[in-house]
Amino acid sequence: MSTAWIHCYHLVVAAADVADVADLCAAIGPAGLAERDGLSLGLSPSGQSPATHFAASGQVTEPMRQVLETLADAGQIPAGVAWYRCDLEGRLVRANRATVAARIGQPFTFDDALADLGLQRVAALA
Amino acid sequence: MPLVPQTLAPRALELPTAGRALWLRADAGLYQDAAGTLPAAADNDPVAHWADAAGGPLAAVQPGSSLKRPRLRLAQVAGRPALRFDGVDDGLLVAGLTLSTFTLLAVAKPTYPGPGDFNSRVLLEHSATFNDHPGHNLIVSRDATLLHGVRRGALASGLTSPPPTPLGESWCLLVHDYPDGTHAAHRLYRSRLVVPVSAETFAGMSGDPGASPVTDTLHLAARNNTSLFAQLDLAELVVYTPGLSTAARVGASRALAARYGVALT
Repeated sequence: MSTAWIHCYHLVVAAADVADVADLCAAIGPAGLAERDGLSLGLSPSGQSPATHFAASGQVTEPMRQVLETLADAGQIPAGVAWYRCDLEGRLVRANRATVAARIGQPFTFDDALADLGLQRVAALA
Repeated sequence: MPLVPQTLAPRALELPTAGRALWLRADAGLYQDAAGTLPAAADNDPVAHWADAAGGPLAAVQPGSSLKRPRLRLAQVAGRPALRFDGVDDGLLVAGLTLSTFTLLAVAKPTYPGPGDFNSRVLLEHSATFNDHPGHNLIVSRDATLLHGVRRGALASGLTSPPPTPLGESWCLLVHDYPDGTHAAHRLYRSRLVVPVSAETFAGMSGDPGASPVTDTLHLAARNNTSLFAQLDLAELVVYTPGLSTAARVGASRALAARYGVALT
């Protein structure tokens, strides 16, 4: 039996858009889970605080993908959102970044997304 | 009276039951939701609740976003499943784990290729939050390191020297032994029965549970000081408190090694 959680997203959101995207995640995510808590990984170009972006990586279902990408295709998600959809083997399937178009079908990690955007993890402790 | 030939059956290797505070096996007790109602059984199912395999009251849970759940991967080691933590934001926590002295055993495959120092990923953390590590840490990376220590103040405090041999991306048995409540007896074993890979060399550290029981939170795949989460596969984890005797630790190590086909030296 195959899983229903068949897509993997790397999601990076500009800090100014985090609240809107958190609301969206809560609206399309499974009930009973704290979806607003998803974008908790701070990023910045230098790796120093404050975080300019926040990120998450994880699996979603096909209905969740349809909602997310339908909204994205209609221009109804904030402009500060970069998303990369991979299959469960980690190969890039689709993204809203033209800079990675040549990598469709190739292995693509979260760190590849950070490199594409020129961002680094912000240290959690000084 | 004639002697009747008898066949001596090999003695089954079983984990000790006395003192077992937590027992997590990836072939049992997995649920997709934190409340533990929707089973996770298929390959790649996300896991937000990992119940104690012996029916104990504790469980490892992900109370946050669905994106932070590790996923179940079937047939990873000796035909048995494992939980895969992505190294980005996946993690589970066990709240209310009361430890004094303890022995922790885990069958794991670290997959992060980074350096082996305190900036490598934390595999297991005994502290209050994902974002700090003032308690016991068991730190592992694929290339070099299996460390343990206690963080207080400076980042490097309380860490042992890394072993010279790279850990490698392979399934191994990790044993974190804290048998008498002192740093002097703190030992870490990687697929070994007798010779630890490292020994505590720092004196005067605070933050140990000590000989008196302390209730804390155990994190499976926590965040380190540079926001890197553990990236690994975890098949089984068992915690005993108080810590096991040497004989019991060796017995538990052999039982887990036999179950997963891990070679011990």
